[in-house]
Amino acid sequence: MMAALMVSCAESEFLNEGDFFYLKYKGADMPVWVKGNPNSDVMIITLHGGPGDAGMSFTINRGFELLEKDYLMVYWDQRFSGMTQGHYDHSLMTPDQFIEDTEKIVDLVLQKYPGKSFFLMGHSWGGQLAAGYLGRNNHQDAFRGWIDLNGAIYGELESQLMKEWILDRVPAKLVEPDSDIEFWQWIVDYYEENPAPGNYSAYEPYFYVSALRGDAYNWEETLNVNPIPYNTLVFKSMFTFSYYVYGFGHQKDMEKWDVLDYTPELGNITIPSLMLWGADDGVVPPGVADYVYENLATAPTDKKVVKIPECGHAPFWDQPERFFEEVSLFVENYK
Amino acid sequence: MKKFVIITLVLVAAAMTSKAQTNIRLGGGYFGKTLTYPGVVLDVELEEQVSEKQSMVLRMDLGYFVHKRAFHGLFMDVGYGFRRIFKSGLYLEQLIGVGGLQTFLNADEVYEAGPDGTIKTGNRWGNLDFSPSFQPGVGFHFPGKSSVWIRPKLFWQIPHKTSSAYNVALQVGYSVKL
Repeated sequence: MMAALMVSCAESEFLNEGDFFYLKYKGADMPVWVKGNPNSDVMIITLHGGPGDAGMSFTINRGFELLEKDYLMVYWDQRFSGMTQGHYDHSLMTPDQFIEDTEKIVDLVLQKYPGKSFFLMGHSWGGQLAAGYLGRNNHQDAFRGWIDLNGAIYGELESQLMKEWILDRVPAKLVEPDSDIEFWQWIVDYYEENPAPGNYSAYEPYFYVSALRGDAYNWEETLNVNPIPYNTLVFKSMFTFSYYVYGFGHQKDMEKWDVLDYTPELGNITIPSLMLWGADDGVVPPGVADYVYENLATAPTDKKVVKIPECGHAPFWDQPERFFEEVSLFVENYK
Repeated sequence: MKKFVIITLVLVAAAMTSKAQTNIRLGGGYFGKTLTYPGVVLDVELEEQVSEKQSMVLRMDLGYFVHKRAFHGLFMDVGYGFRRIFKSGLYLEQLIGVGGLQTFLNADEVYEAGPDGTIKTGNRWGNLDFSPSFQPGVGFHFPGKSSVWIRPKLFWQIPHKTSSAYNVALQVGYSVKL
């Protein structure tokens, strides 16, 4: 018992660093963690992926650790996600509600930390959320720039690019020595039966992409670079087992995300934008970065696509140093 | 909550109408959510001695714990189960319980956004969750009236997100027979 108490009282960055607060809105109690360099004039507000992942888990990887040395980072968990608490209706599980929540979180951060240079960074679904948010109601006016990390934008397009990405690689797998022909043929058969699967509601393509290393480029290496401090997370952090409760298990819910197309919102965005992508991303293939670039209203001199080699869906995991360099370069240029 | 009250009343009535020997114990101890997030638990226990080796146990727990940057939890639950007692005084038990968990947000600050765009300081009230539990345990009855025990506890928070959340705890304490 004494040992347990001593462990619980020990220092932990998860329990002591930065500012940690909650925002209550429409029944959801969403945690927000501001950490990093307290002397920085730059704040980068992050939007996590999923939907249903967690912003707090950005803090355990090398790429964000590097950013925290120079900048103030804002991490938060969206409703139905991560460590968000509260009782709220299932009917609030809509993309528009997530945009509304983002608006409230950003308003709070702007109010609490006036005078900073703000950047918005969204990963995967968070990139799509960022586009939906920035492209409406002049929200972009509060930001110096947008960093789109392997962000979704238009479900139908992504589903087809993902299909191409997978089917381009399967033939080589079929002829490999000791190939699991049954498995790889299953993928071919799946797409014959499902030529246009939902981008969010169909889970099989994500499984196939993982098998082809299009999610994490090299998972073993990624874990070496980003060791996960399980003991600290379980015994000395704000993480609860709620983190493992996935709120988005219903296909009907995800079908609301399948039909999203924020191309019109891209046409309203004029702030500097960096599309930072893993060149080997199979989840949101790099062709999406080119699509976003073409449809953004930002002047060509203020927008850029960077595709990082040997990198899958999460540059901050697979290539943290390169991720840090590219983000820093962009932020220093536009802050 | 209505179900909780009904089940509690049925369990208490069952215990009270028994003709077997009944022991009442008061106890308390450390409640460690996930072992290291500290709290306390107090309990009152009604034990029906079915035989020398077996008893049925009805126990009410009242407890409080703190999980920094997550929530404070105040809980009350009633568990009912079986206890196997060995000659040495050692015993094993298994209870299932139902109860409620009131949470309070634990953070530097809490804010609340209004639909009109205003943001102000918010209250720390969390939620009242339905909280069923599963509690195995091991203990030792000393000669006389005192006992010590270790009780792992698996308990849920319902609802949470679109389903439920689970938590684990370890309880270590001491009881006295009245």
